[in-house]
Formats: sequence, structure tokens, C-alpha cells
Amino acid sequence: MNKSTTPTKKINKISFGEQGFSIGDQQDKSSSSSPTGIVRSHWKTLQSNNLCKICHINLNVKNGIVNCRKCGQLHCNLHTHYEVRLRNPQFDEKTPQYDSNGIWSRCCETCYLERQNTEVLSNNLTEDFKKIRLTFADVNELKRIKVQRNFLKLVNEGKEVTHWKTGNHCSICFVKFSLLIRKHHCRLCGDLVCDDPNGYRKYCSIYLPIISLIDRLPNLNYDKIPNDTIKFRCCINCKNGLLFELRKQEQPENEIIKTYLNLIDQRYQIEVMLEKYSKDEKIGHKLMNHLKDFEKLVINFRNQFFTNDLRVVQIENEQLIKNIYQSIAMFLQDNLIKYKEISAIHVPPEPQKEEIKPEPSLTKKQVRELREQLMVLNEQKFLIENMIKDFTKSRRFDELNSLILNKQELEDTINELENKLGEFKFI
Amino acid sequence: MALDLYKVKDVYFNKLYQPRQNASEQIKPKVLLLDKITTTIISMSYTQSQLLSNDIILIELIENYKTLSVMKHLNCIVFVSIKSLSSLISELKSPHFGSYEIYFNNSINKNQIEKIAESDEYEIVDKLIEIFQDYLILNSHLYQIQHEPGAINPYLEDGSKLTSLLLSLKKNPIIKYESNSNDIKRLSSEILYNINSNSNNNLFDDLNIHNDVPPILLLLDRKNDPITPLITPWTYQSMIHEFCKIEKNLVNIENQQIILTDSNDQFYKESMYLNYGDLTDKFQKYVEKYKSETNQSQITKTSNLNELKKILMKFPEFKKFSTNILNHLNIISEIDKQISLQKLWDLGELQQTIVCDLDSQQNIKERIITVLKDSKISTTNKVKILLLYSIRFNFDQSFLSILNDPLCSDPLPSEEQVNLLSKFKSLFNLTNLTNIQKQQQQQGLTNIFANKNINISNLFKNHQNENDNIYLQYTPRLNEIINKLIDPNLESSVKLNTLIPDKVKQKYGTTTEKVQDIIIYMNGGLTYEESRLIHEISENNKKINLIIGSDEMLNSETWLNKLYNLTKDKQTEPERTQFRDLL
Ligand SMILES: [Zn+2]
Ligand SMILES: [Zn+2]
Ligand SMILES: [Zn+2]
Ligand SMILES: [Zn+2]
Repeated sequence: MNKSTTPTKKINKISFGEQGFSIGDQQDKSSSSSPTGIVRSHWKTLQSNNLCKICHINLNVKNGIVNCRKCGQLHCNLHTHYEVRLRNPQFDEKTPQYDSNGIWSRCCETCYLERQNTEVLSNNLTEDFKKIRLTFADVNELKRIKVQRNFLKLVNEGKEVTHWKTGNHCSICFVKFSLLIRKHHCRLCGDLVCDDPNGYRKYCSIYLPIISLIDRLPNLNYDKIPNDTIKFRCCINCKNGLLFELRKQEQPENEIIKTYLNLIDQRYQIEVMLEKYSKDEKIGHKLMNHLKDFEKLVINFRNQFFTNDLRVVQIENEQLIKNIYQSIAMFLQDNLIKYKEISAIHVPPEPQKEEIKPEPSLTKKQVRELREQLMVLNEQKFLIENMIKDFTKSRRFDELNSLILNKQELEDTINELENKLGEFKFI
Repeated sequence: MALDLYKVKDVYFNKLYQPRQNASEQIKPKVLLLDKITTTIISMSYTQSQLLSNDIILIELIENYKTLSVMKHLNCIVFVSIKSLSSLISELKSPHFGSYEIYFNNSINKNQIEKIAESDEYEIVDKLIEIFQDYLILNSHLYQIQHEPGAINPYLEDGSKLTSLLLSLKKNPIIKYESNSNDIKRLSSEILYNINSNSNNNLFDDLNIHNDVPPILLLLDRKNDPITPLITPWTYQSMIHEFCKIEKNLVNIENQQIILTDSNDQFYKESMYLNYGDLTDKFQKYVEKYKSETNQSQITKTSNLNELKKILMKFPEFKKFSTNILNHLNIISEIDKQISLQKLWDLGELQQTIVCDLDSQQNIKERIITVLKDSKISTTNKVKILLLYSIRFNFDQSFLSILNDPLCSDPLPSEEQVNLLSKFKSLFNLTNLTNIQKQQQQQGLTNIFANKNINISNLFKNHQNENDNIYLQYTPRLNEIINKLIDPNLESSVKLNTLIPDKVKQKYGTTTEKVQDIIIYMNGGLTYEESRLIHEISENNKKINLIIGSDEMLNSETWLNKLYNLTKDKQTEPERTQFRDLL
């Protein structure tokens, strides 16, 4: 305890509760709660032998016999050198409650610390946001209709928008126009935009054949289809506006994500079953089948998206594929131990006579168990090899060393197991 | 602990990723879009496997929105600073993902909400939430704010970051700041403005609900204690930073990167505040424990399948154990190497003797001359000793000739080192007023603080420690300030000004005797030794909750570099500074 909290001069003070009284040393002046203060009906009464709730010391006049004003429990002097603000109970509340506008009252260490919880703030703006979004919905729709109308005018009548804006900055990226950065006008809205087809600002505007947009928007009211040499300039906003409906409907198929969704669906089934299995062992067989299916899916995923030397097939989605594989492999590994336990229970016991046979060094059961070990180890090895590649690339060398060590140990154990299995290794 | 930054981290983690409470909840794979600021925040707080096991299968930078692949099956969590608003708007205008939950790391204003709403034509934003973490969490009581290069108004930036800290912990504080520092003064009024104005959606109005006494935000200036970062530290975390540099929880030793966090490294958690002697004892025991436990793993050669199975299940555990031992072994041997290489057993004792006034000036002088003549002691370490001496006794020109002797010093002291030595005391106004005026006339130098004085004798008070360890005699000035806040009856020369936000005044009045929560910010850099001090004060006084932070974690090297620059600045623009001081 901090020395500064121990008063130099001890003056004992008696406070009476409804069923008893407290004898405690006096704290600083501010602590003297007024007689019209906090109710004392919840105070614990003195028994023949009273111990401090916190340090279990015998309570007496010397150590103090103090009721915490908050919880009512009896404590020694030392463990009631705390104060909180309290208010009286309201409605069906039984005891005084914390209130930062309340009356300063002596309390025990437990109640003081309980008051000191870390609170963390976040502010949800979603409702406000959605209200504001609603007010923009009409405006945005009008804009889109206008762009579409202008686009049809351009296609059908060859008419560009007439009101070309003036200014010195690109309306999208706000870059200042200069000799090098030339002014262009969007032919659908008339806004000033820059043109930088290969550079950083390449998304401000595009210069594209009219026919390429018509191809993507086949259902508009075209009078005639212009020949495919005619190109025009269009800003990103107008392009987004034109393609709005199309994009809203399109659900591009992504092979990786589809496979992944399938995998996590399977994983979900297993998780649900694992939870059930802890209560009901009868579903073990079913669970085992699911785990086996899942493993097949994982292997399929590996074959589909990795080459034999563990390179990702689709280089543009490399990180995604690796992350997905790592997360499902993590899950498989965590559960293979459980899987082993299950399969050990749910395979019918080996016939007795096999145990009598002296010669085949390994029983079927042992072979199966060893193979399972081998499978786990091989899976771990694959994972680690993968991580080694990753870490080498990201230059996380400290972890690399232990990984390589890890891999060697694994390989040693694998060899050992394979030796033990001998002729039973394959089948 | 009412100010637990790890709790903040956990709450925000759950907010952002909404981990499934149980297995029967459906899985929703997610993409995480970050910007550079939030990437640092995330990587300091959570591991990649933590994210993977919460179905975050892809993490991308929002500034690369143009090159993302379309994956409408995925939900997207956006966690960004307001600096990425334009990227976010572009992403929403042609979205790549199915739906969006947007989290900002500090408050945003109405105008910004409108811009996002306008760009959300596809109505794919499901959530828009402010969380308040525009700072890094280093330890449960230690935070750091990041300066972005080229900030136009640093007070504005720092002010809004510290405001996010207050909001995250739901504190509307009384602001106390050191009255002699212009930087701190401007920062304090910036924060007061943030609290009193309604720019934060009136969030400050409803804080302090569970605070019986108003919290305190204590703003300090490093320049008021230029000594602490110069003194060689002797406790584990501080030593690691002094000799190996901890950079955002990472330590580089011999091309190896070691992650240091007390949240998942039990040994580090238990040893980070230990002094060097206790640390080596503890490490010894840790290694013994490892040896006795791993002996069992030798059974790998056993044919007993059950044993093998057990070992396999323990396998990852052991791996973690041995990697952890190896990491700390590497760090401790590097520290050990540096101590003997730099002769720090001798130098450390001399440092403590000088700053804590443990010997006569004559004896100290003799010992310094021995140090200066030792060609094996680095010039930098000699400069540090001389700086401490010059503050205690005034700079002695006779030292310079030895320091400039090629037979004693290799390399010779640089121009900036010599410069600093002769101006150190006056630079920090650590002398009496007449002297200052003289020096100002002579050198055209002004003091860092506008004609306000620190009494030099105060810098050496409070060092009468019960601690017998000669290397741990010195206590930073911070100790005095905190003790004075906790117990106003104590003597102290530190002058603090007070600003009270309107809502705090309404609720608690203008005078309050008690103190419970103190949030400390040290402008200009903090040492891990001071962080340890704060930890120690909290451990010894359960009534008080303390956290501390800064814009930089200093060691003696980084502090010296800052000092060189300060001396340089003073030389190049004396007139302008003088002018400002007149105002
Ligand atoms: Zn007790
Ligand atoms: Zn209590
Ligand atoms: Zn542009
Ligand atoms: Zn346009």
C-alpha cells in the first residue's frame, strides 16, 4: 500500500447503521458523509468473529470494522481507504448505486476498483448516413438519366453536349492544366477533364470507341449504330453513370471465391457437428466423413490453385489464394487431432487373433495410426514449406530459421515413421 | 485499471471484425481495406493469423482501389483515416465488393458524411462508424502518436490525435500543461477547442459518466527535462531500445527481426521492467525450465505411439518456447556485448554520480578526465558525460582540449557536438538569468522558452531513492510532477496551467482535490524509462490510473541527434525567434 494513504494520527470514528455499526479510522475531511447521506440498510451486521472480505484479517477496534457504503460488506481500515460517489437506491434497487454526481462515501477496495473499468467509445453514424443518402438518391438518378439522354443524343444525332465548362482544373482530380496537361471536355456532361491514359491520373477520362459502350448497353433506344471508328471522350463520372444499371445487376463469377465459399460451407457443417459431438458421440461417424470430405476439398483446392512446386497458378490473385489456403489449412490442422480421436473410436476393434500373431510387427490398427500421423506430418510439412517461401520473400528471417529447423525435424519424424511402416507405407 | 489501452484494442477488434461468438453463426468471408495510417495501427495490434481466423481473406490498401479485382461475394471492411476520403469515394462509385462497413479512425464531420452518402449510389454501405484510434498502442499504458511528414499545422494534427485518445477512453479532461512551453500552450488550446466546439458531433458532452472526479490530461514538454534521455538505462525494455532500437514493436538484431509484445510473450511481460541483474537471473531460470521440459521431447525416438502423439500435440508449444528463448537470448547477448564494448559499467556509474550529486566536483572532474583520455570510449559517450557535467557544474573548456586530442578521441568530436557542449545549458535555460542575458548578447542565442526560467537545482531534486543500486539512483523529473498532482501538499517547482472545458466546469466546478485518471502526453519524445516509472507509480497506488505517450520513443542516440538540430536551428534563425519571444 502507498504510504501517503495511511494517516499519521489515528482517530477512530463510529458510524451507526440500521442493524449495527462500523468502527473505522477517519479519512480526510471530505469523507465524512452527512447523516442525511446514503442508506445503511444493506450493511452487514457484526458476528462473533468478523474477517475482512479482502485480506481476511480479524476485525477489531485496532484493525477497524468498517462497512463498505456500497456493498455493505465488512472490511479492515486499510481496505476501506477508498471513496466513491454514491446515490441512494431507487425503485427496486436494493443497494446504493455509483453516481458521478452523488455523495462521496467510504468504500472497499473491490468496489473502488469495480468503478474503474476501462470504457471504450465508438460512434455509430449509420442511421444519419442512410438518411442523408436517401436525399441524394433522386439527385443521383436525375444525373444518370441526363447522362443517358446525352449519350443517346450523341449516338443518334451525333450531337455533343453544348455547354462546355471553363476553368483551369480537372473536375475529377483537380490537377491544374498546363502545357503538358491539356484541357479536354467530356462529350456527355461538358466537364473539364485531364487526359493521362498511361499515368497516375489515367482514370479521370477515357477516349473510347462509341461502339464499345453500345456493346455493353444493348437495350437502349438506338436509331442507328454508328461505325466503329468513331471515338469520343467521356469522364469517369459519366461512364459510371452509364454503366450503373449494368453493374448493379452483374454478379461476376469468381472461381476462387466460389471454391472458397464451398469450403467454408463445409467447414461450417463441421464446426456445428464438432459442437454437437461434444455432447453426443453417436454422430462421430458422420463427423468423420465430413472431415474426410473437407480434406479432399482442401487437397482439390491445392491442386487447382497451386503448381507442384507450390507456386500459385493465378499470379494476379496470389495473396488471396495463399490466404485462403492458409486459413483452411489452419482449420484442418487444428481439427485433425480431433479427427484422429474420432476415427480411433469409430473403427470396429481389431479381431483378437491378430494380437496373438507374433510375426507382422505392426497390427492393422498400428498401421492406420501411423499413417494418420504421417498424414498430419505431411500436411504440416507442406504448410511450413509454404510459409518458408512466403517469409523468404518478405524477408522475415528470424522466423525463417526456426521454420527451417521445424521442417527438418518434421522430415526426420516423417522418415522415422516411414521406416517404421516399411512395406505398409503405401497401399 | 481504468485506462487500459489493451482493452481499447480488444473492443475495437471486436467492433471491426465481429468474430463469431459460437460455431453455429454463419461465416462471412471479408476483405479488409486499409490506408497507410491504419495499416500501422492494425499491424501493431493484431497478428495475421488472428485476422485469418476471423475470415479476413484479403487485406488491401484503399489507395490501390483502381487495381482491385471484382469479388461481389465478399463483404468489405474499410478501416481508414479521413485522409483516404477521396479513394473511398472513388471505390464506392465503382465498387468491387458486395457490401461495405466503413470505420474511420477518428471523428469525421457532417460535410464528409455527405460526400460519402452522395457517392454511395449503389447503396452498398451497411455501416458507417467512428472509432477513435488515431494513435498506436505500444503497451497497456503506453501510446504513441505518429507525425506525418510535411504536416502543415502540427498542433492541429497532434491535437486531433490526442482528441481521439480522449474519446476512445471516454474522458473529457481538465487540461494541465507546462506554462513555460509555447508548443504545449498551443497544443493545449487546440485540444480545448476540439472539446468545447461542437465539431466532434457533441461527443464530449456525454463523457465522464462514470468519473467521480474529472480526469486530467497532462501535457509536458521534453525540453523541460533534456537529461533523462541522455542517461544510460538499466532495465530491460529501456536497454533494448537504447542498444537495439524498438521500432513499432520490432527489433532488428543481426538481420533478424524480432517481434516484442508483452501481450503474447509471457517472459517479456514479466521481465520488461526488471533491472539488468534481475533480468539475467530470470532468463537463467527460463532456460532451465526449457531444458527440463524439452528433455521429454527426446522421446521422439520412442516406439510408444501414445508418447509420440503427446509430443506431436505439444510440438507447436515447444516451437514457440524455443523461438522465444532464442529471441531473448539474442537480445540479451547484444545488450551484454554493448555494455562491455562501451564500458558502460564504469560510465553508467559516473553518469549517476554526476546527476545525483554523489561525489565532489573535484573527484568527478578527475574521473571525467580519465574517461576522456580513454581512447576506447566512444566520442558520443564522452559527449553525453560532458553534457551531464555541464548542466551540473557549467561547461569546463579544459575538457575540450582533451576531447579534441586525436590520441584520446576517435573519431574527433564533430562540429555539432562541440557546439552542443558549449550551448547545452543555455539552450535549455538551465542557468540563472544574468548568465542567460550575457550569453544572449554574446552569441545572439535565445532560449527555447520565452524568457521563462527553470531553476537548475530542481532538476537534481528527488533523487534520494531508497534504491541501493548505484545504476538506478536517478529518477526522471516526471516522478516529481506526477507525485505533486497526486498529493498537492508536496513541494514542487513545476508550474502547470489549467484549462477546464465547459462541460467539466458544469459538472465538477472549478476546484477539485482528488485525482484518479491522468493521461500524460510528453511532446518531443519519451524514454522507456519514463514509461516504466509510470507503470511503477500505478503499481504502487491502486487509486491512480495512469497512461503516458509521446510522438516518439527516444534513446540517447535519437535524443542527441535532436539536440544537434536544436542547436543548429538556434544559430540559423536567432532573430526570428527573438522576435517571436518578444510578442
Ligand atoms: Zn483488509
Ligand atoms: Zn464494497
Ligand atoms: Zn484529372
Ligand atoms: Zn462527363
